[in-house]
Parts: sequence; C-alpha cells; structure tokens
Amino acid sequence: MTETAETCSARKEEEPPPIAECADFAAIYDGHSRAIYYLALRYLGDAAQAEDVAHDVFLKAYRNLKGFRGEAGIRTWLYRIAINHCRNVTQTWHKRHIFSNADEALWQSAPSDQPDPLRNLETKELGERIQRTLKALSEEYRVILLLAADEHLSYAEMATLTEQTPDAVRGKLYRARKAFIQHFQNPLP
Amino acid sequence: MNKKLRFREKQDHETVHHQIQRSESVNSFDSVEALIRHDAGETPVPETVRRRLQGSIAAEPRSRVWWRYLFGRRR
Repeated sequence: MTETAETCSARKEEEPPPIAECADFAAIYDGHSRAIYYLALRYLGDAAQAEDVAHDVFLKAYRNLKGFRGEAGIRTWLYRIAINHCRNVTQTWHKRHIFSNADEALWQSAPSDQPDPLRNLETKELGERIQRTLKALSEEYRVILLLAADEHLSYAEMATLTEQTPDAVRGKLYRARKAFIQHFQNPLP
Repeated sequence: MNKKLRFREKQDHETVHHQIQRSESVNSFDSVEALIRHDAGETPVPETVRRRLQGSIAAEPRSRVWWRYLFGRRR
C-alpha cells in the first residue's frame, strides 16, 4: 500500500518531524543533564542511583515534552521531576534497608579528564568532603543549597520548587549556608 | 639510619605542605554556592546515562497515527 501525496502531507502536520524533535530533546539533554545528574548525585550520595534518576528524569521529560507549556523554565521543570524522584528513591531505600558501599562506588565511577593526578586527587577529595557535609544536613538544607548553587535559578523558581515564599527561601538559605560551613569545617569522625 | 630519618622528615614535610596547599584551595571560594558550583563543574555526567536514554527512547512506542493510514482515515 502506497501513501498518496495528500495523506503524506496530512501526516506531516500531525506528526512532528522526528529529526527536529530529537534535535530539540538532544539540546535539552546537553543543556541540563549535568545540573540534574549533579543534584541527584549530591542528594543521594550514590553514583549508580544518580545515573538511574538522571535517566528516568529525562525519559519522563521526553514523554511529556509536548505537554510542557512553558509556565516555568525547562530547568525548573526538570529539577521538580528530579527532586521528586530523589525523594522516592530515598523513601524506597529506607523501606528496603539496603546497605551498599555507595561512597566507594561514587568515587570509582566518576571519570575525570584531568591529566594531573594531583589535581584529580584534590577534586576527588573535595567532592568527598562536600558529599559528607551535604549528607550531614537536613534534606531541606541540602536541596536549597544545591538549587542555590545553580546560577540559572532565581529565588522565585527556588521558592516554587521548595513550595515556599522567596523570603522564606532567603532565610532558609542563610541558615543552610551556616550549617554547611559548620559541618564542612568540623566534619564528624 | 640518618638517611631513613631524613627521608621520613622529607615525606612528612611534603605531606604537610600538600595539606596546606589543599586547605588553601578549599578556602579560596567566596561562598558555599561557589564551592558547590566548582564541584558541579568538575563532575561530568557518565556517558552511560546518554546511551541508556537513547536506548529507552528508541524503545518508546511510536505515534499511533500510522494506524490511520494503514486502515484508512475515513471509515
């Protein structure tokens, strides 16, 4: 059965060209994957779980992209999905009481393209220290610091993501910074 | 014995010097956010995420529009 010119033309109106669609989504992935992966990594402290979350977030975004009306920015939308996913993972982890060598996996799985071994070591140790510090904080402080570190987010967007007012975000961020510094400089044994 | 002591002293000195260098690099950030941003910049996304995602997207069900053309749009 061959398509007529009429049916082919009608098909193009209803179904967006797959190449353009993939190109748009590839641009979204390239532009936002690092932010989403990093948030998942530092929230969960487990590289394997962070990879799962990043994959699931972008797959969900791909499925729902056509329905995205753009009320919030793409990154805000992705962060919302990611934070919910991370919370679900955490709840599932607590339910299953799964213990893993997450810290070891974290530092083994992240490749570095830095040729300088000393620089590599410094980067790795700093990352470990940041991870331990964030882990010592409440979930609320952890999320707010990770979001605040993203220069693409405004206080208003952070407020939307954390379901509070921008003023409340500012106050909480101030306390979160203090708590971070306290734990960073005085790590638990 | 003296050689061993000198070697150990040299090692200790290098360790302390390295620690000082590291602590200075940590304290060189203006804010907690700057520190975290730096860490984020040093943390690449594993390529496995992209490959898995490509596989998952390829496995997504295609649009059902083509059914209409197989059986005819007008019934």
